[in-house]
Amino acid sequence: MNVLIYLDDNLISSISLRYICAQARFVPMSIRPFHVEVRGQRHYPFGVGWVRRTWENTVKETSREFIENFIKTEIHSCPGLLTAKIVVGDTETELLKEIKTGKYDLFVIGMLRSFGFYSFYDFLNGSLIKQIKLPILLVRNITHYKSVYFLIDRYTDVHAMLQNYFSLYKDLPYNIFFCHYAYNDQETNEFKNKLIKIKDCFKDFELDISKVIQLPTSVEESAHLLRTGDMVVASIEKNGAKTAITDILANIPNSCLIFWK
Amino acid sequence: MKILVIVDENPYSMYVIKEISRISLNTWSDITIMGFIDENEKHRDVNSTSIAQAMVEYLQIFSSSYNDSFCPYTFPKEMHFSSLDKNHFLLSASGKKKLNLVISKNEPVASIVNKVQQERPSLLAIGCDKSYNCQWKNKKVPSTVAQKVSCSVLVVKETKNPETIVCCLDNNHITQTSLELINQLATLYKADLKIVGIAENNLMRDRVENTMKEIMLYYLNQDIPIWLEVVDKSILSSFLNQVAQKDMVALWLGKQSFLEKFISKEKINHLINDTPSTVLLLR
Repeated sequence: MNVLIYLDDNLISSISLRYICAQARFVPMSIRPFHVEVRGQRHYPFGVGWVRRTWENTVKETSREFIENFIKTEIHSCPGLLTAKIVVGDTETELLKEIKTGKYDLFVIGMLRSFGFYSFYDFLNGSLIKQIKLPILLVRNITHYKSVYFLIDRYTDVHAMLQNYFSLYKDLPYNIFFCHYAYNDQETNEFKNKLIKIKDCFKDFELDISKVIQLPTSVEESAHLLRTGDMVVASIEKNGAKTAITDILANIPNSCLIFWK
Repeated sequence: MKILVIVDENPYSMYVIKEISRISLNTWSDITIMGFIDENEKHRDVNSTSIAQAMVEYLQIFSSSYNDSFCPYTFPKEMHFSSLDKNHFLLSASGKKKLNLVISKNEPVASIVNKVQQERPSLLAIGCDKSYNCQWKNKKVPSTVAQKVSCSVLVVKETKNPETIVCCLDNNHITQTSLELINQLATLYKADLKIVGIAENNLMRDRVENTMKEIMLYYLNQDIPIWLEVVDKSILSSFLNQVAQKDMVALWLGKQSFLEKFISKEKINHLINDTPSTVLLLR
């Protein structure tokens, strides 16, 4: 798996680097740290003459030193960790450029959970997400649980979700639990029928049908239950529309792996 | 660790004693339990006062928690308070570690502040009932004491164990004692630990971020799971109100603390007096 991880020298980058390196012990991956040094001097466009280019290179090299020192002090060994790529420019533009030109399977970025959870929706509605096709691993905290929770509702294509997950994490030796959110009692009953239908799909991936948890209707309670998973996997719409699933993702304190519908 | 426990005759004091005895099982703390004689009973023999009888019962509860474990205290056969001076009475259960029960005839708040200055405990524990706005005989003893003393204070209210201990962090200096105290409480309640960094205009000061990282590494090294979260100071009040409904709130308050600027004394009094949450003020 080719992973792109966005790093600054701050707390959440420390958390996300440690988190992905813990996964790299089980899952073969190459991890490319990526940092964008935001333009400091706006009156000259970057890279338009040899004087400017020199300045740009100096900024880039100083930044490289920072990030490489940061990585060295953060982690002693991380299987598959490549040298950091540093560019100067606008963060979103450069990230998109890197994602489009590199052959990445997963984009990893850290985001501390914040009370009021607006930052999660701001993130979902941001221009980066609108243009990105890669699945995103949003790292929030370092956890050492040995289970992965699949957050599903009646709109979830379970088979596609499993396929996407196993294309990235087939070597992750964690238990998988399906956590079903029902918007009302009728849906709970419908899901019981649906479960029978997707039983075969579970079998395809050698999963035990009994590992299905019915979540409570309260979003906060559901998020609280899901915190004991090492990560929560969900598949959501890109337009950032608020649903129970996105609200749960906004509320959980643990990391989430997001696939796009 | 030195703990000063302030008690009266009400059920919440019994609950505080049970909690402190559980902490002392792990920490072998030096403990002083202090109670006050009611105005109406000041002329009676100290051993026949209601507070003396309650405290003897508390000591029995305390000793029963050591049934099968090694006990660093020596519980006396005769539970009898003897005079220290004209206003203070002592019943000692000290052994390898100190366990003293002290009854005072003085006014509670001033006596407690004096006691803290003399003994310099790491923690002062006091109980109260939210249904009575955390008052002791119509006086706001717990909240007044919590504001006046220089040590950490645990105000215990409900018997329900908190699911999460929410520790709000600003640029204040974090002490090893305060971290260990939080560990003890997290173990005691089997609660999750959440460290909340206070941000200003959605940005955290470097010092707050560095402290959060140090705390995170400290707990991860000890295999204690910990959650990190950010709250902007503009919504800190509503955050605390929400948290105080079910979790335990821990606030670091010190000389360098800007939490003291964001959270007024009235707000801390409100947390203590009007919410069901157990409150821990760390100093």
